[in-house]
Amino acid sequence: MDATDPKDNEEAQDRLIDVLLREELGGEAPPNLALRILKAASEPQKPAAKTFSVNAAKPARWKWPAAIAATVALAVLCGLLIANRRTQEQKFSGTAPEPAPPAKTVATGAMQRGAVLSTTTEARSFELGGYCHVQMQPRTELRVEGEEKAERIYLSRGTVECEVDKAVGSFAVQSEMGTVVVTGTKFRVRVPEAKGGANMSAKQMFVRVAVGAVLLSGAWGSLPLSAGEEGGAVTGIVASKSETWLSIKADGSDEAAMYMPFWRGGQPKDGGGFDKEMLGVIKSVAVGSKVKLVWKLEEHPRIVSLEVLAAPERKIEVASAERKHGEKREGEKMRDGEHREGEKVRKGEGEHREGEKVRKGDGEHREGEKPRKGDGEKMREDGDRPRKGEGEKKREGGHEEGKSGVAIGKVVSRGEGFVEIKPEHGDVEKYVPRWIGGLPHDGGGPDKDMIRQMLRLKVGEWVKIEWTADERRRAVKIHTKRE
Amino acid sequence: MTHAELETLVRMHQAEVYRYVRYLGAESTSVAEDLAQETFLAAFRSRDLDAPRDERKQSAWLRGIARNLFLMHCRRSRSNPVHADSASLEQAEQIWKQEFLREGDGFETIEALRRCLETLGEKQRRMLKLHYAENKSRSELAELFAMSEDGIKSLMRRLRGALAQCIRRRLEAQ
Repeated sequence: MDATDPKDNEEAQDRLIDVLLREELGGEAPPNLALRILKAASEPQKPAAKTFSVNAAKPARWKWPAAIAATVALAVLCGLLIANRRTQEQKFSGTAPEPAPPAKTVATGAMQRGAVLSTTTEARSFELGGYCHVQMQPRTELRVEGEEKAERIYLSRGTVECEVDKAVGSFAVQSEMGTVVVTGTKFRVRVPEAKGGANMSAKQMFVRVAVGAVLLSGAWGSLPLSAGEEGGAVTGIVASKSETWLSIKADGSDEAAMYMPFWRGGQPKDGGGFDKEMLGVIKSVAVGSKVKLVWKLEEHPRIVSLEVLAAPERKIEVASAERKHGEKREGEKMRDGEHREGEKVRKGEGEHREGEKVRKGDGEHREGEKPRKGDGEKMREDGDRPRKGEGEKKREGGHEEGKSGVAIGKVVSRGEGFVEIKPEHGDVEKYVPRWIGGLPHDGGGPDKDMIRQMLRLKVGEWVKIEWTADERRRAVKIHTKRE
Repeated sequence: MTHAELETLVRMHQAEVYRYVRYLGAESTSVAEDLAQETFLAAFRSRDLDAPRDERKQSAWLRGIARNLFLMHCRRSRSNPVHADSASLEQAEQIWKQEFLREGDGFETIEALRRCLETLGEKQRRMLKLHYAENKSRSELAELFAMSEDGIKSLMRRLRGALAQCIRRRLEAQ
């Protein structure tokens, strides 16, 4: 094809305008992919489509971050809309009787307080107190509560949309995770249905405010949200974490969602970065801990507060992110700095009692403090030779001490001083150069020729590596097909 | 590249990369999302070997990765659109730079499109809205506007051409 073919030029221009029109008129705004990309970046390399389930078609303007969307199998939705936007369905409503006015339903007439309503495959709507119109989406269950001019519904699962004239009375949406009270005029709440059916309690709640403000409150405290803001609360197990995020598998859910600290201070070049105090908190929380987390959306869910409800029991299910950085295996002991149930709290070392709320700053290193266990791994990636007997854990390769072998596999990543190989069968293995020349002050260091050779490798390339184990697998020779 | 640097890179360039793979011909939003994700992951896994620091160079670098991934996607999925060869993708890149990135990061172009849409006639605007906002097919539009499907096709193409001209004029006038 001629690279300057005018017809191709025209086609390309046409496609370009097509994309812009899809965005401008069709609402196909570029999605926020940061969450799924960061999560995928922390996991062993695999095809993107398998990393996250593909988002189903949904209104682009209301796209939730992919990780949250994956968490939500069936969501509860409640939007409280301003009174002047009442729909025609309100004509079915009647005057609220005294003293305990029954709610009216569009479909079935009067409805008593305490009534439990559920929908299966069809939507249904009803009125509360003459000023709150509620539409239940399919697979929704709620209980009518409250009193005159203080209407309230308890959502156990599903989706509802509401219109409320807040000038007439108050309205609240309650779930196990908390209550959303109208202080503004338009918002929506989602509480995902717990895995295992309606009898299981949902442990998540999502709120998005469109106009005005709401107060989301619960036993964990309260979170005011104003127009354009989203937030929520979740109780679950810390499924994985890295330095800058942690993912939580909510009780009753199969999927974990990722949460990270707020970003402070502009771009990195201007000194910006993640909230350092919250980074310390993340560092102090052990994988496997049961936590309650309150979050607010700023591009992705940012951690407002984090409370450890229970430390992990004996063994930790090691997440992929930790395996990658710390190379731990399932069943390994916790590192220092992570929570153990019942242990005494020592401020600054990130330990605390069960149930105690994690304070910002806990878990951070003190200046001049010696690196704790696990920190040595970072040293190795930097090329420093770790010293034996400093309390470091036995790493991959440790049990192979003195052994040697040959590995054949595909390069999944490489960098200055390491290469990761995925054999046809088996897990990704990391290889580092041998240490040669004695101690650093004697001129010793990683094999520079091997570092160069590793850097020349291409991701996806098949290689054969001759290795020897000296604390870790160290590449002696690398063969490629190009040779 | 650290995770924090990756996040910065994603925040700065994800909209452009997503639009770009859609423009190259990613057949659906989910394919475009996957390709955009893979683009950033490939950049991340390059371990700083090639990562430029300059924002514009970063953008060009990411587009280069995205083109390669799109080409691989086409070969793998055996979907073989006319434009899916490396030469025509290069040409598409030139158009992208000339048209979309004429002014900075492309937001001026979108703003110009917005204004150009306002200048269209009622019928033309309605047709575009039905097609792009309400996903009306060509045959449905043909029925609604009492035209042939081919007529709708060429009218839509002419409309897009006119919008492209209008955008160009507006950007040049700035």
